[in-house]
Amino acid sequence: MEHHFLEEYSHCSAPEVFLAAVAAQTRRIRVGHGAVVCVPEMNHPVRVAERAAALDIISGGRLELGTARSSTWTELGGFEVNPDDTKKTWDEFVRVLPKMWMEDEFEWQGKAFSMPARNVLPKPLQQPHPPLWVTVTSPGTELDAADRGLGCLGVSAAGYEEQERRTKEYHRRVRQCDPVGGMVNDQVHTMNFLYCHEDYRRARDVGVPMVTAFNVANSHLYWTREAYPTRAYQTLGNAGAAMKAKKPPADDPSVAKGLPEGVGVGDPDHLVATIKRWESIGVTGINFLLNAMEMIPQDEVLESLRLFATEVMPQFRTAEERQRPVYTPAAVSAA
Amino acid sequence: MLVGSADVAALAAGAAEVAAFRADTIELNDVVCFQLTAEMRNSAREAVLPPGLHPTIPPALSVQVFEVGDSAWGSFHLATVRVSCRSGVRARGFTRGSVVSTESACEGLRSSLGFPARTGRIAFRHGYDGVSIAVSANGVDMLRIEAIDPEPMANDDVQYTGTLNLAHTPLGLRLMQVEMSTQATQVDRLSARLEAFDGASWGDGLLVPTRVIAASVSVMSASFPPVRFVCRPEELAFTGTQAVA
Repeated sequence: MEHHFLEEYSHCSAPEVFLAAVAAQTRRIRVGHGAVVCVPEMNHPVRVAERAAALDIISGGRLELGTARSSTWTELGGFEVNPDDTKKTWDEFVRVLPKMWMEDEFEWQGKAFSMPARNVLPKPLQQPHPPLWVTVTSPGTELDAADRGLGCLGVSAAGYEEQERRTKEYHRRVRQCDPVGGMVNDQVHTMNFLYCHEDYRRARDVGVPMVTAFNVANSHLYWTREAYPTRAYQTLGNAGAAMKAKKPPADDPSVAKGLPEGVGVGDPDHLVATIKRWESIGVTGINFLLNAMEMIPQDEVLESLRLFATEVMPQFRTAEERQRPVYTPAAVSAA
Repeated sequence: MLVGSADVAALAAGAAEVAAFRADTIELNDVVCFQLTAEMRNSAREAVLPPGLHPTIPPALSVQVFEVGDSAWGSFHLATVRVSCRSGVRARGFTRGSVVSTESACEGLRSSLGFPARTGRIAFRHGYDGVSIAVSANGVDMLRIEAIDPEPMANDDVQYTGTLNLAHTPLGLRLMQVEMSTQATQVDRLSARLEAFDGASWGDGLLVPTRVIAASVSVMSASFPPVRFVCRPEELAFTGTQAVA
């Protein structure tokens, strides 16, 4: 995830550099470039296309490219971006990136940028191009994703009910989309936290403070809506979503264990049930935050991951799927 | 984790006395509300907030100036400077200083809502072409703003975060959570210039706005419902919040 000026977490202002190192040291996992901020003051679209293609080649065709527009004045203000314009420039970016990858001669006259005819190189390894995503913080962005044939990369907290409503509408709309690229990515991923321990009490006592710490640190950001009156930002970012999150119903099994609804904190059985619930409402993947503010020692993070990999992940993969050398999103299909 | 570092006793120097929490809603009618947001330097970030609150990144303040045509205290003007902050994860503004144009409104805002208010002179002009504001007290030029080029916005495009006022309450020295409900009929965004701002007279010389972010003016009615929660100023909101009976 590309972020700038965040003093307490997500020191990731050059994710393409970090991900190049990840690609070089791994063979199977997809390389998720959470989101490139698609405003020209931060990234020129040609450079986005070039860097992503290079990363796709280095990773052997494992790149997933997210797009975003940033929701904080912390970041937009730092680059002197006009918040009124970010939705429009994001839209322009997601329309030109596939063209730059697929066409040998690309030229453009637009609002965010213009350029004469050039062959943007290199071309990505994946054909027609890496799957494209958009991060979803503001309600309604999932519909922007659906209309353009982009995957939905949820980054704000939402309960089952709210996520189900959004996911259902996304899947309905994406079936009628006018794709901006050479393919449709109709997946819905959400953001979550992960701390897995055999003893749910231990998981709760370690994991819940980590979730709280992340939410508090995240809330320190100065939200664009708070700073700048505009139509373009209608919510107070993740803090706004967290404020609206519902408490679990009293008969939810997580209540008895003192575990928050829908959060990936608990024992393996609880995590299997939680993920199956997300799956049942149309979520096709979950991106987990493994630690926050370094609250959990690294050896415990790794232990949590190992337990998750051995006890939870097999519940969601068939024997055939486990044999595949590289995970390829099944939902990606040629348009 | 970033938390305020200001001395609570020093912050309480001008704190209001709230003898009892009001159970009724305070209505303000025929209101024009000007709001300006500005960034501050990091040197002020923790030092201008009590330990119970978190600063924003970057540190920021908001100036709110109200022209109230009708209220239980008659017509009056209120100017207030708030440091943008977080109480738990909630977006708030911590009031560092307030100036009110009439004695009755000043006393009402102090005793009802805990505003650290004092009387002063507020000149407020809202015209078709913009807003001019001048605030002074005790011969000090506290604030001058010129805001021009109004752009019409939708009525809900301005965010008014809740206010935290440090006051002596029946529960002790507490941050009173003052929520404001608004119903706007006209909202304009403005290009604003801060021509004068004297941080010391607003409560702290560290209050130095370095960059104006945006300004707006709204024609509205507003109301303050009864305060429901207070927070201990030296304790984070997760444990330091108390419900008002």
